[in-house]
Amino acid sequence: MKSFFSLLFLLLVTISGIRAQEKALSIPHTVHTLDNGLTVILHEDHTVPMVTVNVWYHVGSSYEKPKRTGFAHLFEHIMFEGSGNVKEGDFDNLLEAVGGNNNGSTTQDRTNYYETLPANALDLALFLESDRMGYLLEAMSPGKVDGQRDVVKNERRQSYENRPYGMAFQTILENFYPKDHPYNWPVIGYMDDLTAASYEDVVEFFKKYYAPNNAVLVIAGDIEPAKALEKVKYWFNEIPQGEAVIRPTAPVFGLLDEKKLTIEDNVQLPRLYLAYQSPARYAPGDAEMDVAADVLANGKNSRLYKRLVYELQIAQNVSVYQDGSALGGMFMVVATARPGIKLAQLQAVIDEEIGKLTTTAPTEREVQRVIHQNESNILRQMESPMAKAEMLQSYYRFAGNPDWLNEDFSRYKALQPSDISASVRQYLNPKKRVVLSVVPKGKTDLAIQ
Amino acid sequence: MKAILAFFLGLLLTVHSLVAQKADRTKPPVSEAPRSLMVPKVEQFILKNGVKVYYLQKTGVPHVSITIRSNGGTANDPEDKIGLATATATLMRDGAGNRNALQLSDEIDYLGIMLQSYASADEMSVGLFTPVSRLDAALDLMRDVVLKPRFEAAEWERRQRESLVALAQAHDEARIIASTAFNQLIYGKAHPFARRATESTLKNISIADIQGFYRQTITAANSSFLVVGDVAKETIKAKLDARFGLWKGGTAKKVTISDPAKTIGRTLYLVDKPGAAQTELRFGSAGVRRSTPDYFAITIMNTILGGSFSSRLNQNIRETHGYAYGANSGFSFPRSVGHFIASSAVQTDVTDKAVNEFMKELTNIRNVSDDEMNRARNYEALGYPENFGTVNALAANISEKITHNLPDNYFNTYVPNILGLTKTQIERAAQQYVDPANMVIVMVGDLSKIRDGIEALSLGPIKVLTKEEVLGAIPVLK
Repeated sequence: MKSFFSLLFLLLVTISGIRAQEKALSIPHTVHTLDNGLTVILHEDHTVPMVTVNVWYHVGSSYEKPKRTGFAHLFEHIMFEGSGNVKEGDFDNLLEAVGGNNNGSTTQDRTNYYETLPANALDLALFLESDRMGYLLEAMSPGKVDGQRDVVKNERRQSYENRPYGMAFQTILENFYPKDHPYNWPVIGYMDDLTAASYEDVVEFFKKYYAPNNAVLVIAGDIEPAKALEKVKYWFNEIPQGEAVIRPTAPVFGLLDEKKLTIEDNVQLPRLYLAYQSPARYAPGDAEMDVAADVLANGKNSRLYKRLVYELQIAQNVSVYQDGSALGGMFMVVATARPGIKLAQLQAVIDEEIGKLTTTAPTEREVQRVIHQNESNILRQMESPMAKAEMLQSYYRFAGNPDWLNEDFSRYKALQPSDISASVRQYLNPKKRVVLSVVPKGKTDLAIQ
Repeated sequence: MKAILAFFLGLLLTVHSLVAQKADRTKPPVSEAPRSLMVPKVEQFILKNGVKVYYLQKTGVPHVSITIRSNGGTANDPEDKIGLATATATLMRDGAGNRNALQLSDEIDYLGIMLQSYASADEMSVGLFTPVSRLDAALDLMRDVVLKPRFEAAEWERRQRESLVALAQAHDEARIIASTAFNQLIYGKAHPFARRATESTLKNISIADIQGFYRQTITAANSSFLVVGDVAKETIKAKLDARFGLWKGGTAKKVTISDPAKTIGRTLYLVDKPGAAQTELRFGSAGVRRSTPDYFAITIMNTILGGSFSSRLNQNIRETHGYAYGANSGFSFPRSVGHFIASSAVQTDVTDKAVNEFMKELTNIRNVSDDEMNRARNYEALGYPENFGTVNALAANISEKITHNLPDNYFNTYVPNILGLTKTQIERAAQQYVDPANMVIVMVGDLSKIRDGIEALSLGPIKVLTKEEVLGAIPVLK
């Protein structure tokens, strides 16, 4: 497998300790741009006779208007309902008939669509993807929008209303970002907005964002790149370019104080959420905060797990993550209290441990642990064409270069422990955060006051 | 002349390709012939101490999956100590050899490897997933976890409290309540697939119990290895011999799990979850053994019923009616007889309508069309290569083959077995294994809003259960 050679080499070199000879991590690929602006990225992997076709449209919930939230995600659903030359239901029927699978997902910044199918059926996936890119509206109807509106409302019920602690994240977003910030609402949107979405809104949204010049197509798997490119041209060349898309911008804002909120829920145990502003994806400080999150809560020896769960046994669990997106990041600490424990007790320990990190750098070993785990993760992803396609997409969208894997990993390897504490000092200010307590109904005394 | 002709020809070709060529969209493109898949052949060898190793080399990405499996699991928990096998598996990685719990975890995390231990109904397993570059250090840790767990009392106290709190939290989750109730009704409350640890059984487990369970179960005679990944046979044999060569003794355990009684009649069981935005639905009955010759027919029948996105249940409940985010069905295939289940979480105010649609689909599956049959057969057969793409996928598939003692040529014959099915076989599988007249139906939701509608359907006797009857009382914790 020549595509993995460089990686193998890296690991061999790492154990023998000759870091100077390291070769770059890379996902070998070619990039092409069609006349209509469609970016095409191709990657060969002949492990099994399967192929992944992966399209990113650079539109997510941050491109929506207030009162029309949830649109990008509603659209993700509508894109499977048939297009000019594909009957309703046939997107799945046709793919399944050749042994394929498909799905999609939406974030604040982008929407993705993908098919995994036997390599001999590549044309089918390209036909389906190009047909909905070029001819979706020919088959669209108010009835189809209504149908998916109901499905999405049930997706929301399943993930929010009917799930313990399900309303927490939405509450945090609303209070963390200012009203005019495009990350102020949940990706899935509000029930009222989903009800209000009209057929005309759908048409307008499609025309604006689902053109080839706002899309990137990645094919990874058992392909010959030259032949695959010819196929892509055959199916996509005829789709006209759309108007240039203006990416959303965010107002500059800063959390100026500590915002304390409480919600009551049908739960046994209270849970604490602390949300801090942090760097955008791949921006300076993002890698530092990522490492800080792992130092705080990944594994039994992480600082918060060790104290809250292992030693003091006042929490049932704790998790911390850095979530860098295009327009900014959120650093989140979540801890569930043991019965009888007030959330203030958890917060005191969390603040103490974060405080220690601001004054004293983590140990070399703590930082190295994160790097080793990243390395293993990269290996795992390298085994899956689907995961590699997503990496190529993500690096292209957020770093401007599909093969940014080596640079991404190098960000971590270059870190000094003192960089971590410097970033923690900068971003984890206890006076500038959203503090949310979710407590059992009637037990507001357990909340942070 | 030749040169000029060639020039002209080139010009013509260029002009042609500049004219935007319209793709033919009048019909879906016909696929090329499927490419052949090299189906892996699993090898076997024996370590110095006689322990069997199943082995498959997969090059490409330099990592390795190693699993040690021992017969015996939660089915062997004594009635008054339910939770013992799980406690043993968990404690095995809470300190081993000369490392306490924190030191062991530190070493695992530092190497960036995964080293886990589980108890299933009939098996204990320890699984390692590591880059080849860390294989030696990772195997040292695995040896300690398997051969030298410390089983410290303080660690058990911690885990015990954690488990008790988790029991309390289960009361918040409609999905857990629904699935637990379903298993109790299919298998009977005392059956290993249905019973759950409770406050009293957890408090009843001592470190001595855990040590005893470990000594009886994690023995050489009772265990085997499965190795998949980028490591040569001689290399891994030497590494395993060096670390596990002295591991001896024990007796091979035979685990027998009783078959569930045939589900007779149709009864509806309702559990109240006031304020729930959705109702968790479960329909099903006792199933069949994996070794049945009907296995392939059952697979395709289920693909049509609820095993794929385009399946009837998902199309009906999600796409046609918008009652839910999705609906599906499936058969479980443990070593013993498992169950059939169809499930969904549907919007509260349409619960009765959704149940009605479920009943229709569970009845109508006795007739399938050629089109559905062809699509389902192709879906399962042509997508089969995905099962061999990654080390983890391979390990899971080989593991299934070992567990069920499937024939040597199983992987090679899977595709023809699926493609050779007839409509008669598929319809007969529906008739035999999906019987809506003899079914358990569980609903967990807001009874004040759904009960009248459900009664009006007149599907059978209705019994109301409380959360506590299903999950036991919420543990009293301080």
